[in-house]
Amino acid sequence: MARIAFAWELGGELGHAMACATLARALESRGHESAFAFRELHQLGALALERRAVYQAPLSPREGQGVGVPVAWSDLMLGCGYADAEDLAGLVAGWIQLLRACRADLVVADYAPTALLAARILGLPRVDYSNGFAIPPRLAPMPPFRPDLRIDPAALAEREARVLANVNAVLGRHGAAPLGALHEQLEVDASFLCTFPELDHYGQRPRTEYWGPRYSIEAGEDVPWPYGEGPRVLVYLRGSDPRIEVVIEALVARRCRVAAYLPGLDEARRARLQGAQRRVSARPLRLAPLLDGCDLFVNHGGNVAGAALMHGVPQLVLPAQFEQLVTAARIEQARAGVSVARIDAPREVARGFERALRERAALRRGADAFRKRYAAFSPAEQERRIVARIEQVLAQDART
Amino acid sequence: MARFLVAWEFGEDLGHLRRVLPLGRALRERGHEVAFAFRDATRLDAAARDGFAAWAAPVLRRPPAFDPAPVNAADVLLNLGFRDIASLRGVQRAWDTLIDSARPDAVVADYAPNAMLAAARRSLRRATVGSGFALAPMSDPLPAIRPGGADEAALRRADEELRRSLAQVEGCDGIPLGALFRAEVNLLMTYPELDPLGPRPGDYLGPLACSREGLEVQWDGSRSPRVLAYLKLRDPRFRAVLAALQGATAQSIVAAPGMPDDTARECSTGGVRVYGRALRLAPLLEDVDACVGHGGPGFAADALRAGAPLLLLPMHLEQELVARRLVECGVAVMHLGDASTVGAALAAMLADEPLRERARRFARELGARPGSDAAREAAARLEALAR
Repeated sequence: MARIAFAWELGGELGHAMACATLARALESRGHESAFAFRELHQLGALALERRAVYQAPLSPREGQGVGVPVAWSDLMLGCGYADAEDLAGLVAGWIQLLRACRADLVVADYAPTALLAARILGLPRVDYSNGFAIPPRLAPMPPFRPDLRIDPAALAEREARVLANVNAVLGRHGAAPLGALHEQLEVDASFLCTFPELDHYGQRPRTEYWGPRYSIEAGEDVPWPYGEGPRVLVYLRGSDPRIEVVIEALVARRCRVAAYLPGLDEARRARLQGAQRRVSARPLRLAPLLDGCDLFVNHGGNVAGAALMHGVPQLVLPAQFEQLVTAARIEQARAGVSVARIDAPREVARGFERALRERAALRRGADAFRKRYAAFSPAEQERRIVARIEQVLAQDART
Repeated sequence: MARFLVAWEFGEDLGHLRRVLPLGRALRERGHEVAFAFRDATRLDAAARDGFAAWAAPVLRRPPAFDPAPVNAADVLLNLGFRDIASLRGVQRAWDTLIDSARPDAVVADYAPNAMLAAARRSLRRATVGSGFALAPMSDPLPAIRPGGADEAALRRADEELRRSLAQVEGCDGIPLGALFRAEVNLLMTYPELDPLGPRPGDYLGPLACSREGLEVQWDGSRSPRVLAYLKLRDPRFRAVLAALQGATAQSIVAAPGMPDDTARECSTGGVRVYGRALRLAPLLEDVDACVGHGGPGFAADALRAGAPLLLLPMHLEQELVARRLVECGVAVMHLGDASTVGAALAAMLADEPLRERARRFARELGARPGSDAAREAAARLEALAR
């Protein structure tokens, strides 16, 4: 029996917390104990984590201030407290505090680079468990993730050197050996890169094990498809997304049958969307049965997009942040969906919706091709192997 | 020996840190164990380095809309995220975990209503410390806090909405609103003249001593008047204040924490030196003629003790209330307008000899008050609570 701390530090949306909770339950069924440190706490109600320790992950209240458009890992770190060694020392201190308090034997980091630093300082075994964006390739210098932008390599190298210097200053305070290169920050005992090469934010990487996408489609509220004629559209968007207005209009105008989960949607919009043919759930939906009969899945390009691909479902992807933008582009490249990146262009969203519906047969072929390529992939098997590997890491640690 | 959890949940500036750290040290000197929970986790090392347990305080989700004119303390909390039931529930869960881990005998809240709520649910002993803004006077409905007041219906609406929020969080239904703001012991770590909701009957222990930390800089040898400014980069008037200081016949030292060093160097022209970090204020205050700030109670107290008149440019309600109090006392000038009139306000303040004389007199009066070490005094009161 081991105590396992799940750390989610960066990145938004429900996907991280959901994936951590699912893996934790699998580990718990093997007799392990889990504790959580989450970036966002408002989703706890949807996760059924009663009776477990749930901590606030230490965060900088000034995230994203004073930094330009991020193009590489070091930029992400600069925007999250790594621009100042004093700030970073504070965040590391917070992680050390909570890892000690929950007496963690192992840390599972889901986009939690500072938790990894704290685990390194404490000499704890650690694994990472996330998608391609949160687990960048271990290269020096670290590669940019924006091939669409002109990047000044010298300036980027300077920023990476700055982050590395601050990381090493903090490691030094704790008597830990300095890193030779920034990517060593991400050194782990096992890396669960949960994506496929086609969806990898950094493009295909050599000599890397892909564990397949992670998604949880079996938990949630059971909502059957409404009876009727119109196309069946599954909608998973943040209720506060500015594009929601156009989506609602299109769904109503095209007489779609709708199953939707739109957390944070205001009452007026909910009332407009809700109808005999259109079900709006207050809780996350059990996606597995819905994906089977779905004509179009409208989502932001988070973990659920992977689930849609694996079920051969056409998508309209409306990315809300850069990480999702790349996923959206990859889904377009696979000819499995339509992506509308701009959040301020309602007409483009309407046109994208129309195009996705019109071309859904072709998009389904694209998604199907993807699904067939990975026909052997099984989320249950993925989970079993991850659990087994974590137990191996624990056993190795016990021996040393 | 008792265990204290000192929690800071709202307010983003260093004032809270400056208050709670000396308080924690004073408690420890008396043999108690102290854990901290900070809103700003980037400050945790300051506590951890000093040997304290240091936690990130659970934070509410930032609300999508912000009402610029909250009517009372309940409305302020709604503004800070108390409408968001999912977030409130999650944050209460995380305080439970934190309290289970830290196992305090008493919770000391420095603007930490969620910690207050969790402690009330769990029947822990509780105290508040602060500069007064978080310590809402008790009445039904909670009183108006804006200059000019508010109609009673609006006050009742805000209270009622906050009550509805609490009623939806497990274990919080029926906890009176007052429990979010007041505890068994409420210590006002400020002067009555600086209390944004005062003066009132209460335990004014005085502000904490000037911070010993920060970059050490000195006035140059010239005889021109010395102006010390503590400014926030995010204030839209920042550049105008800088320009006004550069145009004044004075030597100015400006602390603008967060400004990159090279930008600070570029801004250092004329008689102005700008530093992008916290400064060690005590040596500068010994020989200062005037101060410019936003109305944060910490820096304002430093200036008052030094006998320096203040030009205050409030950025939010608490600072505005502090500024109004000091204007009433005749020791400060408040500037609420936009950037275009900052220069004139600064020039008027520097030329106002009666203002300066009143500031000096006020400092002498403060010096004559029976003084004690505020942190130690607070620690003694808190010890009595935990006994």
